[in-house]
Amino acid sequence: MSIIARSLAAALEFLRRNRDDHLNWQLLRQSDVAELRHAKRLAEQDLIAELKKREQQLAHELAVLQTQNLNQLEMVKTQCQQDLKDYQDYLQSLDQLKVSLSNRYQHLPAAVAFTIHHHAKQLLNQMWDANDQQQKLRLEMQLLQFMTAVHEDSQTGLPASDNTVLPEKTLACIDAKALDQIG
Amino acid sequence: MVKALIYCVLLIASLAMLLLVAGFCLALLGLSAFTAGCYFLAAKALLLAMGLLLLLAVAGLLKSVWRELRAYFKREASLLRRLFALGYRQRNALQRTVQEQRQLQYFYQVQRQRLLKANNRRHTRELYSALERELHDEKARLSVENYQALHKTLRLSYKKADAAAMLALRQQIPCR
Repeated sequence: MSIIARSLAAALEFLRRNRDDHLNWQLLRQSDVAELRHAKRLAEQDLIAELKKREQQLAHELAVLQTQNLNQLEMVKTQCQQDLKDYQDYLQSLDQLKVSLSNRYQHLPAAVAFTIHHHAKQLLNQMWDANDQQQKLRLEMQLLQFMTAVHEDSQTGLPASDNTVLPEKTLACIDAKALDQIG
Repeated sequence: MVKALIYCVLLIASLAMLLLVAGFCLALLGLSAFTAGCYFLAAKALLLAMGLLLLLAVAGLLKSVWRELRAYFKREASLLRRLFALGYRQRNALQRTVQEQRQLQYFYQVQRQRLLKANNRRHTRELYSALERELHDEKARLSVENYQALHKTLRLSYKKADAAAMLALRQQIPCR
């Protein structure tokens, strides 16, 4: 029995010593633990402040970007609408040219008038679809020259009975373009 | 606390094992009444140990779930999530602008093609009317079959909107 009592007392003593050591450690390190806790709280607050600042910055950038994008889209939309209107005007002016040419040269076959109009429309579409600025300008110049030639031909004074006269300048432009393409 | 509980569980399980051994020894000595009692107590002790272990596992699970929920709803975590969301929206806005511009350009091209097509259709119709008139004027100078064939070809070319074919057909109409 005394052996059991002694073993039990030793075990209890061991447990009590452990708990005393733990308590002494806690008392010794109490200030360090409090300091650590305080530093942790400060670091958390700093992090929260930094994250809030970054969040506001990003939110502002996003708002600015969205406004810029909206304006850009509006500009593109307006430009597209304007381009479409210009294209429609171009088509109408080509139609007008065809009508004035047909009125001036009443003996002119419909096929010839159609060919002239078709040539002008081809130049217009090539100019519109060109990506290179220089080529665009070159085609625009060609179209303008062609339209000028057609306009001049439709403005020339003709004798009323002359059925042999043709729009020379216009046909010369078409021939020159055809020779360019072949060459 | 957890350590103490685990020690308790181990202690109870050890007690159960000891009771089993004791019951076995008593069975060898021929004391069957005490053997039954020992086995009964050992079973109950083992059940208690397993029950405590299960409770410990459930408590551990609940504790980890609670810890994760606390971390999720912490201020820093929610701010970080908001930052990521804003970054994602920014990238999305940039991509969206490019796509919307492309879409606008596409719609513009479609509308332009529609205008061009309508214009082509009108002029092809005028050409067809003019060629039909010319063909009708030259009907007397053509044979019936020739006239009908030319008229049919003209009509087919008009239906296909083939202006080049109509112009080529005009070459076949004899002029005055």
